[in-house]
Amino acid sequence: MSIINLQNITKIYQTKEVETVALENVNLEVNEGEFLSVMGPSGCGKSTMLNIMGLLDLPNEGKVLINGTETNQMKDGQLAEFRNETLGFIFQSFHLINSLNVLDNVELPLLYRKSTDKSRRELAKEVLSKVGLSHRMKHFPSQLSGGQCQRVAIARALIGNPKIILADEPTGNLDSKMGEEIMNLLHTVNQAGTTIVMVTHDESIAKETQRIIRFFDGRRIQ
Amino acid sequence: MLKQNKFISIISIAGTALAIMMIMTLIVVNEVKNISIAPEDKRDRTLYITFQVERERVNESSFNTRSGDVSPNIFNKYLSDLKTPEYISIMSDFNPEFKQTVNVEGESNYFQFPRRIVDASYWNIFSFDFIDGNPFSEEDFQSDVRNVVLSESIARELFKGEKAVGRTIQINFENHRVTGVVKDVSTVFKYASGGIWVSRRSHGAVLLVARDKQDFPTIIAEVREAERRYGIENEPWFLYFRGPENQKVNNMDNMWRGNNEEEFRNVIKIENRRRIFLFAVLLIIPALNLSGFSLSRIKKRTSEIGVRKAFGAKKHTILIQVLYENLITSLIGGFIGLIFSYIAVVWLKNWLLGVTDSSTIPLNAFLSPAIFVIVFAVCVLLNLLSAGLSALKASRMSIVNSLNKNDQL
Repeated sequence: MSIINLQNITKIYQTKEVETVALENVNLEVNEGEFLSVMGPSGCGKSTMLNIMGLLDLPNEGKVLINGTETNQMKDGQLAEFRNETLGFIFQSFHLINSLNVLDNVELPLLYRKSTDKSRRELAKEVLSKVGLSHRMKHFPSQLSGGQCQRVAIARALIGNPKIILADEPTGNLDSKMGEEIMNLLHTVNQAGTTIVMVTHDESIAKETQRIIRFFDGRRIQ
Repeated sequence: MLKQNKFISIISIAGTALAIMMIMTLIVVNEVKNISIAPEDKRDRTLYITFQVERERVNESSFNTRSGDVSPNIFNKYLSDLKTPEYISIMSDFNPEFKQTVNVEGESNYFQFPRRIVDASYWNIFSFDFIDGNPFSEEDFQSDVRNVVLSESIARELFKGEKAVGRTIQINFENHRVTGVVKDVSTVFKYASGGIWVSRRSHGAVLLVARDKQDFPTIIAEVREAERRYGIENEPWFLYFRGPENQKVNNMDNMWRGNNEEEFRNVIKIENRRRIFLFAVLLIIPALNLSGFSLSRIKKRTSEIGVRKAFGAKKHTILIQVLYENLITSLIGGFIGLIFSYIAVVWLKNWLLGVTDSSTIPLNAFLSPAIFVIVFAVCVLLNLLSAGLSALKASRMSIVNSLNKNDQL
């Protein structure tokens, strides 16, 4: 059963002078529990596709169905709630909030849900323990290595128990050893039932996933 | 947020503090002049008549006019018997620089002290702190003997620590019996202040104390009726009492305020507009400056806003968060500004309050709940004006652009 279904997606970026077609009539289905890699050269539209899939950006044309729900007609507030409950994000540059410590960063998605301080704390500690960072809870992002930062980001993506995790080059800023650690962690998450869509440039880590799709010039070619 | 952008935060707090200082100096001065605190603890239910205009119509366009503070005759005949006020009193002006020759009876040691001439009802209007003796009564006032109440410092100087009550002093070589001694009153209190309070009928200001503020319209109607009565009895002359004004209006700049009710109301309108304009300028100019800092702080947090929205923050959540965080800066600045405004008022009291350098400003005038409510309201307003636009822009930023730190502000 497909948990993500993109139908005829077109995304065009328009400025006063130039019109850039980022995605052109893209169709894609991702099955529940799948670990999918998206590959392609820089500027081919893979991140745009991931943003549309993650409801961070809207297509100019086409339908986005997530977990069976058509999202095109949703208003901003509904999209925010839907993202919070269904999706988790991992970014190449981690996007941790530097003024918050590790525990507070991980708690972030739960701030936008009805939950008590205590339950947030407990869940955050539990997830941090899963990613092996229990001992760094009070540290700030600037005090962590790149690999640790990405593990915090994974914990943040996991805390809301989303059905889908969208990872945009999660190992792009890490050395190979740390990249391997992160991939192991993502495989564990996937084995627990979470669907993962990962954009990557690294053929070797893409091969570890269940399926690879390739993009070129805004079109899916494979 | 404060720790994230220390330099900008410090500048922003300092800017807020200066803005709040300017506004709060005006408000604190206004509060000191207006709130009901001892001894002028009935200000909120007092109406003031400080000026009368008597006019004789000569022809269509010209009048004979005589005007000034309220005369004792007019007071006795037209105001002293008003039915609704709880207390009615006429009192002379008090000028600490305008002094009389004073000595203890039988002694040739002469002093120079200022005085205020008051009636017996005066003592019901204010809450003096009597150290010894009592105020003079209505019977004392009506008797041939002139009575006085002395301030503590004058009694000490005159009697060198000996008991003053019951003794006789001479003011301009006329005997006066001392009935009481009160603690010194600051010249901040325009009508309660005085060095020596002498029992005599004087021209001056008339204070009408209502039992309840709701009685104000009835009292004003009675005053207008008194004017009409004067007109009937003294035709072709007619009378206009300026006011009666409440405490706030009475404290507005002591300028010429018209020869009739209509002119007076126009002057009040203009004065109120002037105040609103001044307040708006004092609020908007710093708000515009501070909005630059606010925008700069938001720019530094573009990516954070993107992350928060990606993980489920709604537009209004971001809006509230930015305003709330900015409010913290505003409140810190507001608190510092309020302290500075206190310093400014104390330092510049001569100019701002028109009081003598030796006058103290009562602490409870500074710490009135109204001042704290106003400073909070001003902080919120300044916060909305300075951070409202950046908060709105932050809440509307596209998530993808925010995450990529594309400058949209």
